Amino acid sequence: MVGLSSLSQKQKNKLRRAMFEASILILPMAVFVVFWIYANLDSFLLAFQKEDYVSGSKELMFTLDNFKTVYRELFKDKILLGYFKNTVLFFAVALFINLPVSILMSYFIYKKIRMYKFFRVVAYLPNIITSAALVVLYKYTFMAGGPYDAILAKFGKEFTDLFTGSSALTMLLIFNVMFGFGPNMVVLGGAMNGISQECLEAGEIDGCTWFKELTLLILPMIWPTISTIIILGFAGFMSSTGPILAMTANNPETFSLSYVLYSYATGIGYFGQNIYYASAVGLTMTAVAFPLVVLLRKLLNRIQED
Amino acid sequence: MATRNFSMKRKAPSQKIVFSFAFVLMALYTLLILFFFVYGFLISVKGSQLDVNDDIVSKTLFSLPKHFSLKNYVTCFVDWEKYTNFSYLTMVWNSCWRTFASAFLSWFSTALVCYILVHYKSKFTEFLYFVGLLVAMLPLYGGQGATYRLYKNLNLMNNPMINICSITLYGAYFFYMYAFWKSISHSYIEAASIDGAGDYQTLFRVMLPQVLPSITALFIMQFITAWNDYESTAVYMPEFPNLSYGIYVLSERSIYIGIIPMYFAGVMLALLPVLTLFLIFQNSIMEKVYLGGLKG
Repeated sequence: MVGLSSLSQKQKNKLRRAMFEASILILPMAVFVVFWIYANLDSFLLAFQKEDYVSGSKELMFTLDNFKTVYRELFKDKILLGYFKNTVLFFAVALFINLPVSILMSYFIYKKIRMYKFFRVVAYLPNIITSAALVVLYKYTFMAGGPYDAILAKFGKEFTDLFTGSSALTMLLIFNVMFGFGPNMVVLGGAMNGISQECLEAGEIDGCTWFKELTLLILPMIWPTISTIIILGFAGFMSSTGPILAMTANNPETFSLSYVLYSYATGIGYFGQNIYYASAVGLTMTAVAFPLVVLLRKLLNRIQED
Repeated sequence: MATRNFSMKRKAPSQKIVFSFAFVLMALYTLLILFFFVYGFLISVKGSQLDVNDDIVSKTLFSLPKHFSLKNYVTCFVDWEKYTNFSYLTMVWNSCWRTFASAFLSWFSTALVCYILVHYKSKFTEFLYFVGLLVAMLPLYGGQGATYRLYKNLNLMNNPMINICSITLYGAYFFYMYAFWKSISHSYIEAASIDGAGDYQTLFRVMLPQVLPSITALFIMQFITAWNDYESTAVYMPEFPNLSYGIYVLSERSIYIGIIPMYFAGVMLALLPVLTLFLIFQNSIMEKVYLGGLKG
């Protein structure tokens, strides 16, 4: 074994640097290997397993039954297809309503509209209260005796419960829109704050209107941030959801794939626990989403290059 | 700042109309959001459940209380336990230590990992960044069941040691941290090294203080998210309930057991710590957090 004293100064520095890096990286890497790599590999195997209830041994056996059930629920019974449609709706609302409105709100706050500090604080408020409590406040607004009922009564209309039947999904979507601007505004506001003032002043001298300033100067300059939001959002688009557990946990018409996975994986909520089926559903979702994410990233990169 | 104010003064009339319209819309949105908080407060100071019942019948739940009372803010400390099997103080304590532990471990480990990835460039650290990029973009959805089983097998359910999972390579704000470290010049490390500082000294005395204002904002955001998390408590730590979980559990029962004012008092109290933190750090959160593009 070579002693430390026999190493050159350069080698010692290299060793010291490696030890420093290792001291910081080793624990996070170990946790990552166990709780991310192993868990995801295991979930792949779980998708092809089920417990042997027939013999009563409860031993795990190889099966394709989970995928057969996924296929049946997706294309024949169309139960999963319904959840998939809801998921797409949740994602579409986030992408086509929340993101553009967040950009506009961030722009006006960036331009220091009157009371801008107050506006940005209030816009973020829904994110600092637990969604379980926000859901209750929301439900109490639309319940019998609440403000919504009072308004209906003023116009002589009969009260209807909006959290049952098909209107429940609309209520979830409205909830997502109403309280979903905060996180985007933080990131977009930060990106806008990094824009060079000289560039905007040059645009102003050239007679840029606010719309041109936003679309031709600011948006291209913060495009890396916007594309990152879209890519990360798209990578998790099948996990788009609303506060279903707290709001409409017993109404399948509102379920998203993410909620279904949570419920099957944990046994909390509408479904009983079935981690094997949950893994098969998850694997199917991955197979569908992966090529879409790759394509989207290529498309966004091309837009950026253009 | 002065240049921006200068430009505001020279706005054309059409611009002024647009900005005024935007102001009105944002003011309306602000009122809408504040309405929910005021509504919750008004219910929490109603004298009794009977008052609430009367208001529901007369459709005046959103109204000033007939008998204003703050006693619900006291009784929730005493009576919460009757309905959920755990006291409000227990939940406050669990919220504090659990939130701080998980938020701090995740935040601190991600900050240090990103420091290495940005300022100690090598093929290995580039590979780690590439894996981080892959993890962020790989749409893997099926891991919950396997994670549940893993936690169960490792005896991490209802075990404070579960916080070890928060020591992450790619935490929630990985790309933000990465962008922050990239904005700090590598020459500081070289200068510190010439002055004889070791790696740890350079990290903790030279580099970390420079990004601290920005990454503190991320810690507050992570703290708020962890404070409000009830879904993972329901699955993994129900014996260590936090305030959010308590609020969730009671919300499932409050309509039936007639403790609505007390429930809302509990909600308002749970909001106080994070609201205070947010108001203190709101400028940092709103102005210093930024996210770059995904390269690689």
